[in-house]
Amino acid sequence: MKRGLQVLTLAPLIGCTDLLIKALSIGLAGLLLIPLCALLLAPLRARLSGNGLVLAALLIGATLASCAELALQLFSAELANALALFLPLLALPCLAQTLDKDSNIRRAAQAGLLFALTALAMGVLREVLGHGSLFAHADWLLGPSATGWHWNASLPLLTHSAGGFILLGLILALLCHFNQDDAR
Amino acid sequence: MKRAALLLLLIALLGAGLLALLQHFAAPRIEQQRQAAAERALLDLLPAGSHDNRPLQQPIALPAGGLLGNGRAEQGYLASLNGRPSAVLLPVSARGYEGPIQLLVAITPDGRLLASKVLQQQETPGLADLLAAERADWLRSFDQRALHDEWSLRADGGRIDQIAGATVTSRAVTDALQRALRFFDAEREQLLEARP
Repeated sequence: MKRGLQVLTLAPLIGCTDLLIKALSIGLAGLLLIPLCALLLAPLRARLSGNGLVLAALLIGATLASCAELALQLFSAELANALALFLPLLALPCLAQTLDKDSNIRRAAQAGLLFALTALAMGVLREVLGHGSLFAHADWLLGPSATGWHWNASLPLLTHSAGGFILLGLILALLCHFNQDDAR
Repeated sequence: MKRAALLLLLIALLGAGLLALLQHFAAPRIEQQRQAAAERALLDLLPAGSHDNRPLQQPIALPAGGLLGNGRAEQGYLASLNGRPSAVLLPVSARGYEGPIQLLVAITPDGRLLASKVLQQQETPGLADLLAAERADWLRSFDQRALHDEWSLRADGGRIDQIAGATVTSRAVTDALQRALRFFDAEREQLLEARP
């Protein structure tokens, strides 16, 4: 159940990890946002329960996701545009924390780290295998001097959401295989 | 129960206040970033090697309204190669399904559409989102067209495919492209006039 929840929180990654620069940004946002949400939610747990807590988490998650969106717009309009659909989905991991009874900040930090690392892995794999490039559009965040690497071989399936879904499934299967008792 | 409702209300108000405050302070910088991005994006309409001037340094003032339908006064740009005009960049607005669509159109001196791109739009994501790759291909299919070519959509009895499920958006875009070409025809002399 808990593992299922954690997997569900990875949903925002499927749509927006086709480029490393996008994956890095959303991974970083998740890394900061998920523990921060746990931090804000901790004092509310004693006072709210059930639906109230879920609503509080939704409000906090949405607020934090909007903050992340604003912050991203400050740095790069292109990147903010590319991620506009997916940043609000970061409210999902925040929501998942309320359903987890023994959730604490350490576990949230772990979830954030898992989110960021998965984003990184998917970003690298999908860009290298899908687009045949690495760090393309790095200039969105790092200025015009930054350029990525390009070559020609590519597998366009991976640039689409379907490819992201398949890749995420493969990564999770691999994790389960090497980590069998933890996986259940 | 009542306490919980009050607490939730407090959280909502705090969140909204925080966001309003952040938005207020960030807005100028965000607008700046948006404009910088638009400028960077502007010039990639022109094929490499098609101009040797710096078009952004020579804006052409265009009034609001009229054929281009822009909400406010905008700027067009003239690209030239060896002192001869090679393309004119014109911003043009259309009324899409969800809101205004802003396009940038590059027109050759002989009145052909060189290339066009969408600068801003709010069309339905996944269906009519003009920035998605498939729709960008559709927009590219209008390149090299002149006013006397076929422009009417299949939905209107013509021969051009519209975006499936987004006829309003397709009509708005093709109409805007034609308006830009008509504007260029009408103002050709002024737009191409040599500038120091």
